[in-house]
Amino acid sequence: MIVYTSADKKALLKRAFRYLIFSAILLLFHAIYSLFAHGVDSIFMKFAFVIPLVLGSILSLLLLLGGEREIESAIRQMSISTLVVGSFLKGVMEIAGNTSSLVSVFFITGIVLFFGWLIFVIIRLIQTNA
Amino acid sequence: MLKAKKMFLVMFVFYMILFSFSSFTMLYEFVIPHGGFYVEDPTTTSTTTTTTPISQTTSGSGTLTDTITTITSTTTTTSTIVYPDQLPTVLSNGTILGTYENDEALITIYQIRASNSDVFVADVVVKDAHTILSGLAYNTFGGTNIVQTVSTMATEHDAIFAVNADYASHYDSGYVIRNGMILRNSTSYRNAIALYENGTVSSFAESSVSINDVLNDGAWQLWSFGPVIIKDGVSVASVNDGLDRDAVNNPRTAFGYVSANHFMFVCVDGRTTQSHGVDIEELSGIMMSLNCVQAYNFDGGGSSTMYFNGEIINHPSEGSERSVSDCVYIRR
Repeated sequence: MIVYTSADKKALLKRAFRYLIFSAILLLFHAIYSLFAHGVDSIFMKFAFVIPLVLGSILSLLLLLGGEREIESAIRQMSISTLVVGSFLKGVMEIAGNTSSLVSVFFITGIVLFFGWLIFVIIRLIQTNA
Repeated sequence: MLKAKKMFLVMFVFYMILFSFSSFTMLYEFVIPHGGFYVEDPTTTSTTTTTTPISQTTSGSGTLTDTITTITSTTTTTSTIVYPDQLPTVLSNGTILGTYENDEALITIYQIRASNSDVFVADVVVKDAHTILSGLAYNTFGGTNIVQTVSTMATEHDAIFAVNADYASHYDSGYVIRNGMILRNSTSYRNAIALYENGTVSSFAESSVSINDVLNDGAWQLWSFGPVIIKDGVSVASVNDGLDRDAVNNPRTAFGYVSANHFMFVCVDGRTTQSHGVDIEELSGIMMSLNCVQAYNFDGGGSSTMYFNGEIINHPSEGSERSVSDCVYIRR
């Protein structure tokens, strides 16, 4: 049986805050990059901050209801990191006017990791309710 | 404790792989030359003795192979070239930087001022559209990071005049015809412009035509970058066309068509206090003032480079020439 403690809740709040900071850093980075992009922008770079904000910060707050194990947190973190890197690289390519098939690897990997996290959470919830 | 160590090791390995693959992706897309296939230069000879029709031989049937031999044409003529149209007023008031004339081409380089920018205009009249040639970096098309400066390509091709073109290798798709050969037959969302063997020019949406039909109609060059800025005498350029780069002042290169075998190649300086650059509508205004009835935007920004008689005429915005994948040139 998995016990969800106040320490777990504290860890989740810390994660939520860290992802919020990460989102802010990405916003700042985009603002600085735009200064050198000669007026060209990319939706992928512009909205890269949404990934840690939604999948990181907001999801961490939602998980206060059910908790999150260390391994699940690690998988979620890997997913977010991969998606953010992919979004950033896609943005750099678009601003430069390039196309790259390699960037899709990041998105596919990030999505697979996220679904992996989801499966872990579902299995845990089933075990908890069993 | 052991579990935490394992977790740390897994995360460490993951981030090492992520960093390595990210670095490889950036290097692969921006630094490492790769891909592409070799394209031979067309050979053109000219004498001043007799006049004979152009004979053309092609190898292959427009199918891509590892090595493609382009059209060989032999042109002989004795006539001098007469300027066919009225000189645009804006050029009459401009500064002539240089001229060149032989049996095949009459080139006059002007410098004018427009939209707070220095504008360099190559007023080109040719006897035959085959005089307008395409050069490829290292004679290679379709690769990534296979680039040379316009001046290097011009020197290698013994060009009197050269200007950067549509950087066709930059994209993965889009029609490309160079020196009468199809180099890429995949369609894109872009509008293309074709220079035909009879010296005329037309633009069209790539999705609306087959490249084989375009070639069969006599296309000698086909460029795929855009947008089209003048079509049939009407400006069609808009800063609201959905492309950020078209709405912002930038250095630009453009190709214009005045009448059969009469063309304007334009480079606008930008990103400096001396020259602010132009947006796509201002560029259209410049091409209209040059009496162009068809005009097309080439690759701009740091790529905008005009070469004439051994020198770079304009002022590339990065302080030196940017290496690009292709150029348009006229041989000495």
